[in-house]
Amino acid sequence: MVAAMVLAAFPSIPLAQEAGPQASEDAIAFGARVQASSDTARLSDFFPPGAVTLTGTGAQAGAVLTNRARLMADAGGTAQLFDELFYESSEDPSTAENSLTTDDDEQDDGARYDVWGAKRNPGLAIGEVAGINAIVWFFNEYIRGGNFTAVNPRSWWKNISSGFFYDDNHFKTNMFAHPYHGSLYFSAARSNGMNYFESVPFAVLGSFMWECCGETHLMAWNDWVMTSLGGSSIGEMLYRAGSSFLDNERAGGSRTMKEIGNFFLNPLRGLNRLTSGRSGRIYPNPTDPYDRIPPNLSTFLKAGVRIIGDRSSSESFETDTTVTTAFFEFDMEYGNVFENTRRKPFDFFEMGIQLNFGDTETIGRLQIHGNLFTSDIAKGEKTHHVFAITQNYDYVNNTAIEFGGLSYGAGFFSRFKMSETWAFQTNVNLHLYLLSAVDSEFAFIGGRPPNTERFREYDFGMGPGVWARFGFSHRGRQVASFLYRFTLNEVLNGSNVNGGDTYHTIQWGGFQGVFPIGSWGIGADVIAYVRRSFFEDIGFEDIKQDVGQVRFYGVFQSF
Amino acid sequence: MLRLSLICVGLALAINAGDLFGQQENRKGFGFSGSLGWSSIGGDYGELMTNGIPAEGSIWYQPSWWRLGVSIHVASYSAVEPFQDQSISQLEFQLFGTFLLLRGKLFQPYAQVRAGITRWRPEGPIFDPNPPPPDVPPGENPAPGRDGFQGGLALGSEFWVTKNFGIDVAGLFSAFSTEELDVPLLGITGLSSGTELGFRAGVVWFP
Repeated sequence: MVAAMVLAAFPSIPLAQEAGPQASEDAIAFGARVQASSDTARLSDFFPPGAVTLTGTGAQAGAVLTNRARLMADAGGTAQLFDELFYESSEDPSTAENSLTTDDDEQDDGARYDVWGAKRNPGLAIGEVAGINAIVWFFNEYIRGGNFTAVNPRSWWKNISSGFFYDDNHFKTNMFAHPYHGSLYFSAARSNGMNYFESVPFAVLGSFMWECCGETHLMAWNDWVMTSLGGSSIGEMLYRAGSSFLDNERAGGSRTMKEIGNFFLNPLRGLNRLTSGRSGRIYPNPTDPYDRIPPNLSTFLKAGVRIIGDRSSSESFETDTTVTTAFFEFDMEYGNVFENTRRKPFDFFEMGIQLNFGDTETIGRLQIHGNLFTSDIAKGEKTHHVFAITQNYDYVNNTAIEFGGLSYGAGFFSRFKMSETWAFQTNVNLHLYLLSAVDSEFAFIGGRPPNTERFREYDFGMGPGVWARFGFSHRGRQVASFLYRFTLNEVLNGSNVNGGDTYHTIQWGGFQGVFPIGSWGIGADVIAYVRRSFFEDIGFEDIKQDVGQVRFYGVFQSF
Repeated sequence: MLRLSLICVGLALAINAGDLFGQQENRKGFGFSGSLGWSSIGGDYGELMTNGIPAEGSIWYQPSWWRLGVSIHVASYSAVEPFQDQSISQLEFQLFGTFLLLRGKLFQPYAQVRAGITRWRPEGPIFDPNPPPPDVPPGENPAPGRDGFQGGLALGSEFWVTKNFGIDVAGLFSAFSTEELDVPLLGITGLSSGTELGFRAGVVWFP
């Protein structure tokens, strides 16, 4: 009914026509979408609670159009015109709360809302975190028939009083599945109105709740670290990725598809949008592009073949044990570390996921490197240097390599403009792994957890690392790049039996070249993986593993 | 007599100070409860177990004088002597309805009806079938869980410390029926029902 009134009121507004044809067209189009959404909808259906405080037919129409006008980048003075028109007889526009433009917007109902209109609700987030654990527990107890879910106060006390150990789960479970599980805890908070840093504690507490009280296995330190902190990396990446294709102003089938897509990408956020009614309501998108589709968002799809040595390869980069498989890769560069005008956590991050078909694991790689804090060091006409605190999540699991971990680092980004079209960029990152896991020939002999069910084939450790990347870009698109990466893994659990000092050094070095053809391109890269494992202290010979990988692929770049 | 009078006066004061934290009688919304307790076992299962420590977590919705919710109830019961070091775990999913006898007060007595599914999981050598089933891997518990149903009643009260947090104390009684459980080592066969009598104390959160 009100939607009809909005349209009825709009043609009689002469000032709207004077504000410029583009502004008018935009406003009319919005009004049409409002009408199309539902003839029986109420005005409050299109705005978060408290966002509109007007009364009367004209005022209601004005609220819709004013809100839209404020959001239009090309509206010019339209917003002011609308304010004068519609608030003249109702209220002062300076006091009207009819636009969601900042974080934690205070609304009439006293609650705080984020820029996507999600009400800040820590209680609901805690309930969802507990619910996630309850569902996982129920699944393991009643459907999977697990032998570790007969929990009770006695098992809780045993776990808490015993403290933390390391567990013996499969590499994929510990380094990929658990972080994904943690992303659900994180998303429960993130989609209930909390920002990145406020959401991390929910992942930490949710993981602890599971470790102490959701299973009878003793608490595992590696689970806690990877679930909570790895989970926050994956959770924020999924939140940002979902935001880039959600569209609150759309209606109809395309809106439904976007909401369904987001639901699969980020189930907790999808659930919260559904239960709060935001998934079906038409209301303004966030006004700051960094909250939705940031400038310089680039995605890359790669598909091709890879040739890689297997785990038996020795230090000689043998070629008679290679495996050839197809692969598919999706990379995202979210924002631009130099160009970003806003620098909140994860306003810039890089993500890559690689699927290997015919390898030991289909998901062969997931890496997320995000900036938590970013600041310019020096900015000139041709040079730009940026410092960042980064959070790095790594998971590599294929026929030759098992490597993963969670690290925090200091990143230095530099860009040197060589001409109008060419630039040279560097990125050096010094980081510390809070936890890393590396495949190891003797992980099974020491540090076994009390409830061992299998022999683990990888060591847990921690240690420093560094990577250096250099690349040439043409018109903002990287065409050639070099990578070197070094990680020290001081073993905390696994091969360090009887207090022995064992450690691994892992080095990666590679080159990548892409020949762009419009949005498409062809590329190739080669990478060498060099592991040195030092077991002398426990009476075994040191291990040397050198593995090479070559890939040929086609690439499509979007945005 | 004096003590009883003091208790009555205290209760009356608590009831009459109901709006101290600005609570409203028509408050609606979701809430959470968590508690620990003590309970003893009777009936068939009383031949095998003595007492245990139950814990419970609940989420509920309060639209009016009623609260409707779901809870997870877990407990560990000790076996009878001389096997008191061995135990049976109890897992329950319950639906419950709580009727608040007073609402929006510091002191909120209630009556709760609950029903759900129950599973008893024997742990320890006395429950092991001999010989063990061939399909059970080494290290796994060879004594399968026993599933069934349970229903019960709780009478208690909440004492609200702040507008959003309260303390919950209640006495509970429930009866359950399960698949038959045999304990060959003790010469016990056909355990299939029992009762629980106990109390719980915990916190209530109405955000």
